[in-house]
Amino acid sequence: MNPSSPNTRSRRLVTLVGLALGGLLAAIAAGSWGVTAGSGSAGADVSALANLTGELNVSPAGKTFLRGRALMPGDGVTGTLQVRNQTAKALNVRARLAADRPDLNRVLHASLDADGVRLYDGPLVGLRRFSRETVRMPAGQTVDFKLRLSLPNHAKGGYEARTAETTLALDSKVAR
Amino acid sequence: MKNQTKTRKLLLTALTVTVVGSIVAFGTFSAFSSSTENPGNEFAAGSVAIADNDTGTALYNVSNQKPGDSKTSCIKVTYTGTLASNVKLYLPDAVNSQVAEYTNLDITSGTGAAQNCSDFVPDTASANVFSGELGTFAATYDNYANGLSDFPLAKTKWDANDTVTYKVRVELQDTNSANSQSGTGYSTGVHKYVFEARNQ
Repeated sequence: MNPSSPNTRSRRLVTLVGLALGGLLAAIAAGSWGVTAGSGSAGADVSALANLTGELNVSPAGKTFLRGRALMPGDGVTGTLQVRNQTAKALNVRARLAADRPDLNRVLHASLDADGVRLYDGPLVGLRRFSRETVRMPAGQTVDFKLRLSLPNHAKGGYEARTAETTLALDSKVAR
Repeated sequence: MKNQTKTRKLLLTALTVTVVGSIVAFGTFSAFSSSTENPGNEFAAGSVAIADNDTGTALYNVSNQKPGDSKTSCIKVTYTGTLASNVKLYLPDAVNSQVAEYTNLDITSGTGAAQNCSDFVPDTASANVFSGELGTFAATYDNYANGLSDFPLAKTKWDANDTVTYKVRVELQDTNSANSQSGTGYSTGVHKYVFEARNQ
């Protein structure tokens, strides 16, 4: 057999290509071996809590009143916070909701109702500032604040494996 | 020529063994390597904040009192900061000693939210925060450094969402010496109570 014949050269080329392909496959297999397993959920996790103010007592105070796990488009969770005007005067109360990280600010939908008044309804980012709407609370009155966080049906992405731990802050002024 | 082919074969075999060995070594390293991380670094300041439920209304604002008259009001103090803190009570304003000496002041800690103390429940222990003359209180506790320290029941610090309600009672003494002073129509003057929080 002539080593420089076209047949021999082709065979060598095939052998080298085969070796290269084999090596590449082996490298890919070895690399894949080290990939960490997924959590099994690609949805969004959300939660909300509220703290006391001087004028307003909240229940539960400093504890989660809304929690949702692995939310997918179309999913939502609702939580109720009891708010009591503990002053001797009527108060106008407004609220805002701030997340610990901005990941879900634009994709998550928030709606907040209190005593039949819709304080806010829109993307979470819009509630980073205090709501324009206020609810009037007579002295000593307790009102349920209902917060709903949801992922709209049309949400296409940006929520996968993201979290938003939110804090509902309340502000009050003496009503005239 | 035969030797040349053998050499080439040997070289090719050596190359193959090297490549495969490298891959195996890489795979083995991947399988047994280990690392640790400290992700999510962030540095945020805490807060010290305190509030009450008085909506700017004085605990007492009475006039034309006669010996033995008293006024009782409650104030609920809420710690809204995030850092563990001390809270002290003091009276920064000067009070007219001619009446302050004959005005009793009692401060009791407990729970409740009504300004008229209708729902006040005193603490089960150490409820008596101060009991004496208003003048003594003003002279003893007139700034944060010498302020009267108090904590939520069974605690040695104030944390977020801690609350204490203070029942404050003032009474014009009904004694001969008090009557001789108060009979002249003196006033303590306007004064304010300050609850100040500072982190521990």
